Amino acid sequence: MRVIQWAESYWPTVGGLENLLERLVPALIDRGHESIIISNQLSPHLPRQERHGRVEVHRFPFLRAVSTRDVALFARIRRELSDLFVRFPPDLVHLHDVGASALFLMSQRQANGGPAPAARTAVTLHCVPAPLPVEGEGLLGQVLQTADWVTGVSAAAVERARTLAPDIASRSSLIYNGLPAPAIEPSPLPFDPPLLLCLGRVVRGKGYDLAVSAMPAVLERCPTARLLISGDGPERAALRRQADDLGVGDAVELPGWVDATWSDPLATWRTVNRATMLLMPSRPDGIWQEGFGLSALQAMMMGRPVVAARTGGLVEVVVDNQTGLLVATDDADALAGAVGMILEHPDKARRLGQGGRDRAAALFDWERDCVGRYDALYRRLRP
Amino acid sequence: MADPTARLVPNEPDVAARVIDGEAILINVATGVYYSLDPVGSAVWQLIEAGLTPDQIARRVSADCDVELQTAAPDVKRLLDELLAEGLVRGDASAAAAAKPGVPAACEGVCKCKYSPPTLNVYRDMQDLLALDPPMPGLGDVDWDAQDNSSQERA
Repeated sequence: MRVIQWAESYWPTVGGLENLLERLVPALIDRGHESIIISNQLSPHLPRQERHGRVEVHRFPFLRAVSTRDVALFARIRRELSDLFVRFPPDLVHLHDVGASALFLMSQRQANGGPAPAARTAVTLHCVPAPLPVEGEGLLGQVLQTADWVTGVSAAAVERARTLAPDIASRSSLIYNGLPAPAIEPSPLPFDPPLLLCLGRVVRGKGYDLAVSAMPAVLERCPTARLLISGDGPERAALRRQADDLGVGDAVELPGWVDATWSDPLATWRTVNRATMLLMPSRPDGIWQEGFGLSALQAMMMGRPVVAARTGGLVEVVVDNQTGLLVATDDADALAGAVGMILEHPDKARRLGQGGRDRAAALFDWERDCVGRYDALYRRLRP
Repeated sequence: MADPTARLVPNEPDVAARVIDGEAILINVATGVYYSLDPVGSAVWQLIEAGLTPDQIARRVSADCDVELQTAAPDVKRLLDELLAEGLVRGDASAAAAAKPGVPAACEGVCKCKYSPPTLNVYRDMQDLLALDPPMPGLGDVDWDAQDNSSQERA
């Protein structure tokens, strides 16, 4: 089967979706699904076409065309897309999230005599879209409504899709995320000193400011605790200032990405292995809520308890008092309380960590629950 | 409501439009709302641009699409009313003028497809969906055209 993987965002952008696709697409190629990736050209410095590992990546300035409302650029991209669809006629176009770029696919499908209409379409929601003011006449609803199949990475994402497009109830399903097991074993949880880890894009929706806000109370209960915010993004400088203003600057590290050269595939896992627990105080932000929480799964696979906010699909990954602790969104006090409780009860921390490992193995197995289910879906959608 | 004998014109400069492979893409530049027209709708758009009146458009669609005028006329009227309501077209101040010269013999798309009632798709959430995407470094302060790497390929 020939598949165009249409990713709203892809490498070298970093995030859960990008990390998943970097592993999923080669795994699907191994199962016989010849794939290329189409994604946004987010910067003029990024090549329009290149190979990333075993996968051919084609980037188009979709967002630039839409955000600048440039109809001439829109037309140019559409023609280039048509050429690509001729060179690589897909059996299936698989959209990963629905952003502004999806307008170009809709346009391609609706065009008279264009090469795309024959292809089936699948959509996977990797995040949980928030209610929009104009849902009835939006691109998001129309893309879902016209898809041959819709999946979500959590039940919350599937439910939201079915709310946006009620007709898809019989052609939508849940496919949880997974990750291939790393070639390292979990190390014992450190408590002297303990390390609290935030891992991911440093954007408002991740709620890392709440982790910083929680630190004064955490340090009162455990003065040796340290917070490591590993990742990068537009909020990084503000978090540094916030930590300094709160007088906890010495206890908060903001080093950027774990491995800025991306040369060590185990670097992130090693960082997780240094942590006592993972914090995911995510909050709804604008149009999206956390769809799954791939960092939470990484922590669980390494036997780390997770303290997470009750939002989006996170509550399906993290089970309160079984694999971690769930707290209300936007509540730094509750976050500090949960962190303190785990730090003061190492046995409970270890039990939650083991619970996470067990849950990851039971529900989020890479081959069985993730790759295998996409493979089965593709075979079902084969023309 | 569209007067069947009064010409409509694209509401420039607020509206930018292109027909690509028989599909018209319309952007309300002022509001950021995107629209698309299916092939028959795109043909109607091109006939508007060519300066035909609503009556003339309906007759042209009827002839080119091999569909009864009593079917095409209300469909065209409905579409024109939608275009007016969305501010994508406006009445031509020189409505009494004759149709512009150079009216195409057949409009792209009309004769290539079976008739179906022309449809205007509306995408009002484009600006919300832009917020889903990561920020574009350099947008606005980088000369994209000068740095476009269209031909660059990296192994």
